[in-house]
Amino acid sequence: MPPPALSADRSPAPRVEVIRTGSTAVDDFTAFARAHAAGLHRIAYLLCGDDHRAHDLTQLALERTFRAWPRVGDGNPFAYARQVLSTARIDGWRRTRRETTVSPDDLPGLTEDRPDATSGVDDRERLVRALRLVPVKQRRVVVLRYLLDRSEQDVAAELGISSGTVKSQGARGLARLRQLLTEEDA
Amino acid sequence: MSTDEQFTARLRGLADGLEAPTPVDPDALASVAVRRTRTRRAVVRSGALTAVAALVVTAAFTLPNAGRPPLPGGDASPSAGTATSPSPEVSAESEAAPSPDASSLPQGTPVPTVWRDPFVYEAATVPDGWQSTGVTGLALALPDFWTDRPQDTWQNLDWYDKVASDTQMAAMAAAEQAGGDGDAVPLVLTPNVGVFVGTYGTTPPPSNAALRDTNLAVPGADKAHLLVHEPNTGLPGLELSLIVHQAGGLWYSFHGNLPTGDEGLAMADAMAASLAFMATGPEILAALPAVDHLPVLELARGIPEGWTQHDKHGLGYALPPGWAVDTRAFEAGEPAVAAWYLPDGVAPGLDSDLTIIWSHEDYIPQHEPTQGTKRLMIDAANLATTFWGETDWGVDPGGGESALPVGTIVLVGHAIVERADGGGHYTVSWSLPAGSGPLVEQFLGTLTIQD
Repeated sequence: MPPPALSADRSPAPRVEVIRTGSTAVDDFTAFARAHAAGLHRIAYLLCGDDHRAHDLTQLALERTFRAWPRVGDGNPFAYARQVLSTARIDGWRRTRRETTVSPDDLPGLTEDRPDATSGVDDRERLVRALRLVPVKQRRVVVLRYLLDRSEQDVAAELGISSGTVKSQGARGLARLRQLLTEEDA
Repeated sequence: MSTDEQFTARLRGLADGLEAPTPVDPDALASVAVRRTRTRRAVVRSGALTAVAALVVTAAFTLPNAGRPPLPGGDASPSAGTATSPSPEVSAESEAAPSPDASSLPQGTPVPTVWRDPFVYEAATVPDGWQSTGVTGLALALPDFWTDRPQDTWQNLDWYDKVASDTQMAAMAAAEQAGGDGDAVPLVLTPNVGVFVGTYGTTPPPSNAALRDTNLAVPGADKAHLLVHEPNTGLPGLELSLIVHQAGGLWYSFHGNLPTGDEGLAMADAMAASLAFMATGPEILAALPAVDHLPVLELARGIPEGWTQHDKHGLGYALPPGWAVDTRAFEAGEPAVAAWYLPDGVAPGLDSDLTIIWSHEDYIPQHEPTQGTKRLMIDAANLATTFWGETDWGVDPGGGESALPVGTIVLVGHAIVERADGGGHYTVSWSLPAGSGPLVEQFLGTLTIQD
């Protein structure tokens, strides 16, 4: 079955300014990637809770976006890329390598200049862990609706589901998330 | 503010400050995205040409399985392992070279091409008794008695101390010949270094105090770090982790085992000092291989009459009557594996078999394309390739004695299908009686990616 059709038109997210000064599509796309790859990666990480998988998802989203660049480059490529992330398969990840991805900033000896980032880290890790335990469909809605603060209509359009489904999946997902976080608190 | 609103506000606050552990490299991501898209378009443009030309080439080839009766329901199309259709246009970005056996083809026949590493490697420093080698544009020096192991993909290489390995194997063989247990021979870590090249770096978490924990200055790299520590396996030796990121380019993650003590530390230092890039990051990215230029295997899609449809972790497929679940090697309910067999399918006492394994490892084993490798066009698959050929299982290529009679011709092959949605990949492998090419094509025509 082919992947669901994606349309940038149905997402009313803020438009991305693409300044054209005789640049090529690759230049424009690279500029877009520089501006938004980190944001897409963060969304991917919220959705899947796995660093490797988030990286793969971000790559997938950018690849699909460039493939559709003639259609979306002048519109809202970020919304398109986010929609790819939102609808991509985010479950089924099975870690088979023992390595863990390392951040260049986490390489030993490179962390001295970093500001103290420990505040809230535990809570964020707990949030990521808890999100991974929320069923995928509910998790998508929770991330888009509540963590990214998108409207019910936007989430419905982005995921291709009804507003009623957004409401019900969101409520169940939120309840499950609250339960999980409360259990951890206890 | 309601309780729900308070809760969601707290969640939003947490999410706002949340970042994935590994920062992305936007330039590398964009470059890979552009490259993959361009090579894909090259295939799309050339697909129609391939379909037409294949009709002509089919008749021009003498098929190794000609003369054998086709299987019921099979057609006369060539098997991927026995004939080739003209190659579609090769991506201008890939450094490609003719396959080694191109000379065996009729004159003027276009052949698929394989990627050859275009770089000539010269390490920055090469100690006495060492040699320059490299991977994907990054040179390093290693002892000259180390050799590289064949790997499934350009992204992964592995060098090892062949002398130490051979010594270990000889000791085990001697123990077995003396009536003992080869496994009882004390295991020694074979010094080796493997590398993974990609758009992100990987490193194993050190389990013991580091003996080296040093940032390196590698020209052209914006990050480079050497970590050496003792293993937690109890085996003698040192574990090495060497991670390099080229400015505007890729991550190179070396992991390996080195001799214990000062010898291993000195080797780690020498490897670190030898690193040198042979080109800039963008140049290396532009030279990355692609298999998208392989010819497409045109297939009749759908499930043949009488076949039964199955699903394994999202890969739809169908099999003809008579095939049974094989529980001799895998549990029947194993979620990632489907194993089937057809009793006495190849010959009396020799079953046909077919195995599907779903995996989501960090890389996909794209076997080096050979003359017979072809692409499969499957909806929702990012990349799918297949290869098969026939071999005599009655002849041991190692020169040993085979349990099967000479002339036991078996068709063996595989297909690798990567899901486009990032949901992993499937490796399908089979062994069938000679002349089963049409059956293979029917089977491949049933493959679908499911949600």
